[in-house]
Amino acid sequence: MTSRLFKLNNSVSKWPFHKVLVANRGEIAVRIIRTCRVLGLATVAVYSETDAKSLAVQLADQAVCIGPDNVNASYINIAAIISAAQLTGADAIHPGYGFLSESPEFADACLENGIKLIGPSGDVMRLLGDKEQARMTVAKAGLPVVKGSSTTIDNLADALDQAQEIGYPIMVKASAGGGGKGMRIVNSPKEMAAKFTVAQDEAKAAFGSGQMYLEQYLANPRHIEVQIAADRYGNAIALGERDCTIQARHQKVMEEAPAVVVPARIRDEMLRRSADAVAQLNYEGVGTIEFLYNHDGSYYFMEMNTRIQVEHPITEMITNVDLVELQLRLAAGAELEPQLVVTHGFALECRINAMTPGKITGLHLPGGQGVRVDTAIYQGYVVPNSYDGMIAKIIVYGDRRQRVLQQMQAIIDETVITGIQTNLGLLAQILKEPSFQRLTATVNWLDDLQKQKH
Amino acid sequence: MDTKNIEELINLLKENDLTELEYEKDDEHIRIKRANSESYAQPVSVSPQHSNPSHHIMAPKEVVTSSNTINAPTIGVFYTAKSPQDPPYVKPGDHIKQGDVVGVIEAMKVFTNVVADRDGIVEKVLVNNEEGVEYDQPLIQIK
Repeated sequence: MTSRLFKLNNSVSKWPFHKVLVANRGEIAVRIIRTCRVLGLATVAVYSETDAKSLAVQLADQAVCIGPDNVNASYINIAAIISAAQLTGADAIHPGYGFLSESPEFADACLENGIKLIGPSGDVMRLLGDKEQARMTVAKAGLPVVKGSSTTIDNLADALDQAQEIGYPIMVKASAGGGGKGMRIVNSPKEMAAKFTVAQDEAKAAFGSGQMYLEQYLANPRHIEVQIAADRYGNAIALGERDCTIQARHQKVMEEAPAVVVPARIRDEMLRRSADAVAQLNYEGVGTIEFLYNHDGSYYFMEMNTRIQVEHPITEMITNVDLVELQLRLAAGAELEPQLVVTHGFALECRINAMTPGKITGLHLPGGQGVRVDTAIYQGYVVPNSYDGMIAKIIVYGDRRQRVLQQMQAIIDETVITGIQTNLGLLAQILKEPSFQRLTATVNWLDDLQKQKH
Repeated sequence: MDTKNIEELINLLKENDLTELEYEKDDEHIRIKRANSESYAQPVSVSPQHSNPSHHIMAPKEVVTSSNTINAPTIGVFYTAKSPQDPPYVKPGDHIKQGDVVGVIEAMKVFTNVVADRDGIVEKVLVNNEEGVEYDQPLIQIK
């Protein structure tokens, strides 16, 4: 599949690694194991005590218990995961998303122990993981950025000063953050006094750092992101974009590709500028550049994620590229042929979240033409309380958006998951909303909608 | 313990829909298991397995005949002694007390002591020196 992405004389004919340890859990661990098996790479699943009966444990060639339920002692325990690799003879680690996937310390530990991490170097992660440095770096590399604080901030007085220069409304963010934690919208100096410390406390609790960061807040943007891939020789390509505007409390709920709200001329420019910027970063592997997009066609760099994204399947559908395979080949040293990757059709993903833990007593997953389900649940599986509630992704691919939306409505209605509560009802509701169907929603739309209904 | 107490345990088992219950006090040791618990109206759990089922790495693991074991506090390489020159921390027949170091596990050059969580007599050391162990793997059987 991906051979056309590579320079012909340089496709990797022999893997420099043979056994891949998957340092993750849930659907993404299963997703990675599947591609490894297709490629003939052996796999090792690592798991916490809670996950002893997980699908990944059953599908992998080997499985190792690395610790108790608590993620600090298991899935983000660097020593335990490196040990598991050494004991099993795994010579590569795929970190998936979340957990250690963007940890420079983990990347460094892999390097020191002679294990190939499927992803960019620790130095690149450090650079892009710091929001302020990342913004300056990509601005230099030619991407538009929102106005933001020139340094990280740890006290209210500095926050007020810097906010004055940028202009209100302002978004307060944790420098080390993500997932909505430590984030506040501030409309005035008075609000800053009230909200800064609260956001900072939240950041300290969630990320262990009270370093904050301010940026110009765009009131009603859409979230558009570009999928990129780069090799170690400085070649980079863009593999289309995704529209991830439908979010609840800064967590994505539905994603679609391509982003049909973006006019072709602007879209092409976003893709080209993203690939050009990444080519300057010493980046290796796949990654995602997130932008805020305004209705006037302006767009601003938000952040770059240095890992596989949850919503990667919709890009796979419209490009016919297996992104996990692409990650593995780039880690193996394959050389990309710089090109404009052509996309076709339209894909939509719905994230199914468990709202309560418990045993899945009944399960019917949908099928049909263009339907893909990425999940690690099975009938009788117990959804643990301790981890992220995202238990399945339902993806529909078709030639037109309207048709895909109709099919998604039909298959969400068909899906049955009993024994636990899920967000299937919410997804069905969103699919029927005119603002979603007509693409007039913004990143705040779903939160506002839910406020109205409660 | 008289039969009344056992009856109480059985009721406890039923009320909480458990399949097995173990009770231990002084020298009493009672284990109650519900026969054929599968016949309850449980949904069939089907979980896919591929042709080459995954095996746990640190095989061959000893089959543990008793639940009376001291388990690995972390994944890593198990050492039975402080250094190759030193005698092993414990050998079969040794009396150990709660808090005694009975082995050590190394992960990324960090050594973690394996500490006895109760008193007892070492029956068997289940893992060889320098063998890899998983988290919570039984290491020492005591009686």
